[in-house]
Amino acid sequence: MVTKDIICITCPQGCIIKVSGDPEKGEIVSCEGFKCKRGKAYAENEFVRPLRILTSSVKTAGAAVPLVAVRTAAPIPKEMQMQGMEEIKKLTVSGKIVPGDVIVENFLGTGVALVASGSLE
Amino acid sequence: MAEKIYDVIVVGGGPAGLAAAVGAKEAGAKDVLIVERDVSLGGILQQCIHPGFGLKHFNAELSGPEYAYRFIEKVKATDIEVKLDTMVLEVGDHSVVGINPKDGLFVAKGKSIVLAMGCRERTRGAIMTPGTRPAGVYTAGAAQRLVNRQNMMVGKKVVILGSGDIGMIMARRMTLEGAKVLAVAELMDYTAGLTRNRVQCLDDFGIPLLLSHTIVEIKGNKRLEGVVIAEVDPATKKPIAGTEVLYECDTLLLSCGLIPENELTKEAGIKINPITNGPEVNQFMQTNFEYVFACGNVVHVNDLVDNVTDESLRAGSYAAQYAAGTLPKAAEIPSVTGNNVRYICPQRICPEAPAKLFFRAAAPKLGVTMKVYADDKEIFSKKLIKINPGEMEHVEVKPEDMKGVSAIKIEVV
Repeated sequence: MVTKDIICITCPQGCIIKVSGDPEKGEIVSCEGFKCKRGKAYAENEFVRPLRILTSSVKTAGAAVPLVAVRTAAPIPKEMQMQGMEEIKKLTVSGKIVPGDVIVENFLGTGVALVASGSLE
Repeated sequence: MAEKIYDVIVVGGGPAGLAAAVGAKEAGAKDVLIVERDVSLGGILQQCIHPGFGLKHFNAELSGPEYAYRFIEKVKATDIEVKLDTMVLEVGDHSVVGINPKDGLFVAKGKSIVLAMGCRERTRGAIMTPGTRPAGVYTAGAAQRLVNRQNMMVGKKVVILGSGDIGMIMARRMTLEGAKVLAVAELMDYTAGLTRNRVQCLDDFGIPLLLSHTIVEIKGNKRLEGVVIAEVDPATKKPIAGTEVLYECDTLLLSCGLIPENELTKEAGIKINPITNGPEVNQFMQTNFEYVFACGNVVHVNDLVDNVTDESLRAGSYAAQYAAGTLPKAAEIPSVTGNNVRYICPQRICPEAPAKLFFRAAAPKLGVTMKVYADDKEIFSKKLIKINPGEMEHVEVKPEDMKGVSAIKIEVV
């Protein structure tokens, strides 16, 4: 049985959430101190397997601006962030892009897409 | 031909200006103009590619460009006029003087004007760090623009001075982009930015946070070669002799606070508050010039764009009401800072309308009570788990609590 104090990063309140259980088995016995549903979900994930949204920018070709912002559509495993950056470095995009356009499906095999977060005229 | 008179002219096309224009339009203003000095709308949001925006306003976790996009689309869906690449030189009597390559010098007349110029970063000059003047010293936001919008990497071994949000966010960005961030040094004994940014930007990447530390020397001739960091006495903030450590680095990023950008405001003769460095306003975001409104970081530096949006939507709608002659007017009362309150915005309150008062604590503290007084009478009290100067608090005061009252005071004990 492990107990951890987790500082929620979902919003600026930064609630301190106490989670107990067995992170190896993915078991949660108790979760206290959250003030919203997002906080509870964050703390439980953080206890078992921390996730983060990865954001970066990719190179453009034939556009007025050199970069367009990208993000993972949902959080991905925290430890995959640097690997994600290596993949993003290899990409080039062109043509009209609006936020939400899929750049890479199933990014790094996570089941989460890499999508545009900025736009390109 | 009759001269065009806008209902509302908005100075600045960042998050505050966009929301003010939309707010004015939604409140019934007919002719609305946004004047923006950059070549695109969105302001600082365009370089803030990290997530965390919009949780309050859109109930979604957005990046800066995504947040800006939603508002730019709203503006495009209306007949709001936008002048890009245009510098406002002067705010005059119901008018702004601007200049751009297409129109040249022009005067635009408006029944009301909304100031939404935002803020800028404190530079090395403003914090007076001693040492040589090599290349490689940037404000965190300038580095953010170079890295995130212009595809230019600013350095490989980085030290960051100041634990403001942009500094911590840039510590993570530089790490993700392949640089080594040696440390974030903070003069105060607490982080200046949000706790969530310390966790996800510093702790996640094992970046050391040196509280009660500052840079006492910058070394290098052509390019930065290193900085000397020393511990400071938490009470006096003076470096402690003998604690100096040399950090060899090629880049120093400064995240030492933001200053509302009020040259236009000051030149117009509008009253500036010495604590916020922004114009004094009432709850309608109305300055002491009744046709001039102000919102967003030009008034007081916010920690959340969502708050800027809400404030600016209101400012825009009140500016539209003023243009239409329907905004209430009454003798105003001041908001007064009590124990452990650094500032309150608005500084003036029209007692006939509800007022949302935003305030910041002077020092962080656990287990506190926030109290609101109408003169000597306590009208509201609330227990808070913690209070932190980096995180803005607010409370709403109703007209019935302000009847015959000469001042509203907030304190945190």
